[in-house]
Amino acid sequence: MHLQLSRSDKIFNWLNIVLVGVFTLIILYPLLFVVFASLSDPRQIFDNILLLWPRGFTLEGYKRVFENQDIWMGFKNAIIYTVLGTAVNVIMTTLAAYPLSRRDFRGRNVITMLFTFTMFFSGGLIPSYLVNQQLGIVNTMWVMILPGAVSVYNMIIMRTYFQQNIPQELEESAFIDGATDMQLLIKVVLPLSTPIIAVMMMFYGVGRWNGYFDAMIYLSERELFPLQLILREILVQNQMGDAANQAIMNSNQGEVNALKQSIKYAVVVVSSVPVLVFYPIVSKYFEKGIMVGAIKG
Amino acid sequence: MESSVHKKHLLKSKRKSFLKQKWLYIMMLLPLTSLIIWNYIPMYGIIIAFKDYSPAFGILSSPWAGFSHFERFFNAFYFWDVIINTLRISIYSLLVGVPLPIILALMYNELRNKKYKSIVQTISYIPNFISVVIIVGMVTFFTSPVDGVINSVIEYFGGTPIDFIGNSKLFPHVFVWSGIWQAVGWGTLIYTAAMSGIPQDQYEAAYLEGASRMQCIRNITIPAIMPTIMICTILATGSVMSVGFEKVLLMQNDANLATSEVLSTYMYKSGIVNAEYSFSAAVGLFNNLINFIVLYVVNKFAQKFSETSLW
Amino acid sequence: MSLLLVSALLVTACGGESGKSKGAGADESANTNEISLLRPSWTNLRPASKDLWMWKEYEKMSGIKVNWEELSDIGEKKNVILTRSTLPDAFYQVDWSNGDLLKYGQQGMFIPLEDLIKENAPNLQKYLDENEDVRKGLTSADGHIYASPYIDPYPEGNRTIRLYINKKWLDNLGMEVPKTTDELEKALTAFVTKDPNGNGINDEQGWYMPSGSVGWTFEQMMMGSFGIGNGGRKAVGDFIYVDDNDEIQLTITSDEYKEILKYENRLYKSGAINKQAFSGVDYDKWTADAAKDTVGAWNWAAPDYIGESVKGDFVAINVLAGPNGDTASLTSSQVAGGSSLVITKDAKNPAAILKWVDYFYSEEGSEFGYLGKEGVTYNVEDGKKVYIDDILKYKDGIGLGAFQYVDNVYGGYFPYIELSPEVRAAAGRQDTPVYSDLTETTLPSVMLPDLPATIKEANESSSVIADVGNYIGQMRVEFVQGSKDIDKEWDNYIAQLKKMGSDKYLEIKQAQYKRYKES
Repeated sequence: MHLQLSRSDKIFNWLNIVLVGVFTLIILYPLLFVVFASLSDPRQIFDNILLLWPRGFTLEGYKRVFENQDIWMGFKNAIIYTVLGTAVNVIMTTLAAYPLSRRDFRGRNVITMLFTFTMFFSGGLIPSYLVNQQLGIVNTMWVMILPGAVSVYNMIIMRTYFQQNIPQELEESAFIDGATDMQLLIKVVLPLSTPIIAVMMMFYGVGRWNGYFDAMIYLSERELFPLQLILREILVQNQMGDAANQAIMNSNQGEVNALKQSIKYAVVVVSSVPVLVFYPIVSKYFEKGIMVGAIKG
Repeated sequence: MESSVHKKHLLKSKRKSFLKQKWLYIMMLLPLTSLIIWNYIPMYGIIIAFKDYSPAFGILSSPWAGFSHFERFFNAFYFWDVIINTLRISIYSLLVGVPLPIILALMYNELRNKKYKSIVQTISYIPNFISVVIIVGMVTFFTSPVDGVINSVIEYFGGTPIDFIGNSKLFPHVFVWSGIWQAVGWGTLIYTAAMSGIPQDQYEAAYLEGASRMQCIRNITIPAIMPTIMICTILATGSVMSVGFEKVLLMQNDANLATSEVLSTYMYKSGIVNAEYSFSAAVGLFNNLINFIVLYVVNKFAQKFSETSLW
Repeated sequence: MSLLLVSALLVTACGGESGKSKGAGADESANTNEISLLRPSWTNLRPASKDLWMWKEYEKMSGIKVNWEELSDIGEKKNVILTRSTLPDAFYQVDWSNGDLLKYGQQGMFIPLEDLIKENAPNLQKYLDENEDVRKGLTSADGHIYASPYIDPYPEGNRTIRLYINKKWLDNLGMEVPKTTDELEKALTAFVTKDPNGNGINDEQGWYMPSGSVGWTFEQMMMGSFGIGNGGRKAVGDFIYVDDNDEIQLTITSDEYKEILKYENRLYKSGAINKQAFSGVDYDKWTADAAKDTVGAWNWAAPDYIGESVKGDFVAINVLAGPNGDTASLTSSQVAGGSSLVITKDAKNPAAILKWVDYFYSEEGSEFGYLGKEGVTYNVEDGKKVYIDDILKYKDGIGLGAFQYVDNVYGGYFPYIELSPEVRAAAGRQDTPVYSDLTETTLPSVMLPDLPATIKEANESSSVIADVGNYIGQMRVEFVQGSKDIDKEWDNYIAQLKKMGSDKYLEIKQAQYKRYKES
């Protein structure tokens, strides 16, 4: 900012920095708690009201995570599903969002309705399963990639961005030059839309990374399991509802619980790492968007 | 005679515009195909709600049950409690969860130090990735009236400890705010993207005219992201009957049940004894019908009073 | 246009499917020496079934090859699995309610087994002949048996929920192990006031478990002490007991239950029941506290639930005499799992499956399922069968160590007859707990299994039971914490339960019991 700041703007600046800082600390502490807990003896985590440093420091949790073949396999699968699935998502969503963003596109309202309708009404699990079975993709990696190609929510967000940020004059001048709609999309619209594409990549990517339900229902072969399904076994099983639903008392439950306790925090930390790497890369596109915007104006 | 000529002409121009827009239709082809295969073909499954579904007969051949599953649900002892609890939590979530990400995104947008900005943004996204089991575990520990950090602060300032999670009056607050903690940073993303599409020179021009930062926010940034705000709000109202199932179930206990029993958990419990697929389907259909109507009405209002709407 | 494309896609996709058939293995088992079983996955704790020592060994012994399909989260997937065009031959270790069994049995998904058992499973048949309660418990309302059971003949094993009390603290305070509910109250009160762990800080808890447990552990045990525990753990969990006239009654509307609530209220007020009994403590927190020697008493079937480091401090109490001298332990029926093996309509050779599973209902088979084979997984020391060192020294404990070789040590619901606690303890080179207070006279005189229900009954009672469960859960908190006065609110409470249909529910249960006795 090469302009001279006024006094009130300076106050505004500092206030903003401080407020954001406080807020970030509130967000940060529970995250640090997870990290510290992952490095602590599970029995000492609750010793004090604040966990400000690992207590009973141990790398046992991480050792177990890294020894666990399932977790590595899950990692590999999750990366494949996330990368391919997100690519399919972003392409399909763009293909749907762009025509629907054009106010001159005939059938626009009907098609939007068709999409929106599916946000609320679905046939449920069983017919969906039957369809995937018919397609022959149950228990293959494709069931993790092809279905759910367009999230209506994301599509509408993207459509709104196109409507808002692509100047109509630009489209018109492209038409005069004899460009087709497809060329227009690729050569003019997309370069101006990197921020929303980045957001879509984040939304879809994270959705794919965190999703477990489809994998749980459609995959039975363990070699195909994504990380979240493996995580679920460690974190969630036997947690839903109370133990009263377990009609049978297991005398070895103590051992199994101890095993799970020792790795649960480490596993959460390890599974979040890819996101930490991912965001800074994607955030560059936000900056680029700003520059293009400046030129365009 | 005249009108038929007119019609012909219109038809011709329609066809012409269809041809002219053929690329747009070609683009729509793949997404629409996907929609038909994975959304519309399975849609016949909705009839499960009106049947006594059994896998032995399949969906089409299972016996019809009429509205009996709906009746059972509407006559359930806790029907109104459950509806009210669901609405309380979700409307509360909407009231807090819709504006907060906007405010936070505006604050992030005003940060001038790029490094600081990138760090705080990244941190704010991380909670979104933590398994809900861990989140609930932390909420339980942090809010404990015996050794939780929040109550220690309250006691330090002379207050009496509060049992946050074992109190049905406080449950909605705990549920909503822990949800905010997890999702608010992530929610800023859309707005951050929308803001990065605003041409910088607009701001520069405003500065030259002596506008303050607050004025710039009010007169440039907010109008620019208004369509996004509108769309996100409309979409959010479409989930007014849906409250995340797993987290509620994990946070639920007998002491807060009076406010924590929501549609999804109630359905889970009353269907668990015998796999009551049709009953769940009926409750789900009712739920989504309400959601759809709310969204439709809100969108109608948006069409009437603003330029932005879903369709 | 797009519709055309869809059908084209469908055609090619289906063409692609026929090439590969993975998973269920239904067509692979055309050979009669092969059977396909679908079961829950334990692969996060032990090798896959096909690689597990026990199943490889049993394949050699039986000459039958099992194609295992192992699925996690079976509860969520059950419905979807049933829509498959070809079902697995049988479901192994999958929990079906008796309502499910009857429904799918009558609809022809599951096949009746009683005749097949007679012809092919002599060991199981013998057990059914000798134990009428097992046969009755397995027989559906339509007279058929649709599943083979998991049987645990030993009430001194995992069938009984006991009270574990801190013996070290009792000794420090010079107190005897409580025998009555009054003595328990005195002991727990002393725990929270007299610093039995001797650290000078008032950090002791009385009865303390993860939040939400009190209702289905401590309170249910008290039902035996207050005279409404006859019928066993399953019955009490269904809010019913068998009265002196051999009639079913509701526990939750009885005057005895009112007394239990008052007792709990007293304990809660004095701190003898942990203040966070209803919210705020999860399992992790509880075991962490326990490791710091702050837990006075809790309930479970075995002591190791509280963690290795302190489990030795506790002794078990099976029954406490109540105000009127009543005693009945919280013990469930010997039909520990009613649906361990269910054979489907698509099984090519149901007889072979029953022959295969029948071995586990023999003494030799039971030992094989839990202990394995002499010289391989256990050795005989002083006449006792003890696991090999590999198991005894396993890093995560003996139970999980054994789980690396044999199957029937974790998870329950195996089709099999459980070994006696002596044999199981000896296998881990541990002493058998001796319970002098668990005798013929202190066991409930009837221990009901899940009472077989007709489809109509199951539908009618399932919504009632969900509502009632919610309501009594909420009222328990209010009564025990004292935010509602028990005497003043009692009539109101009963009236609410009636509104939810508790009378109708009682009628259903009474009819079921009558049918059960006559079957």
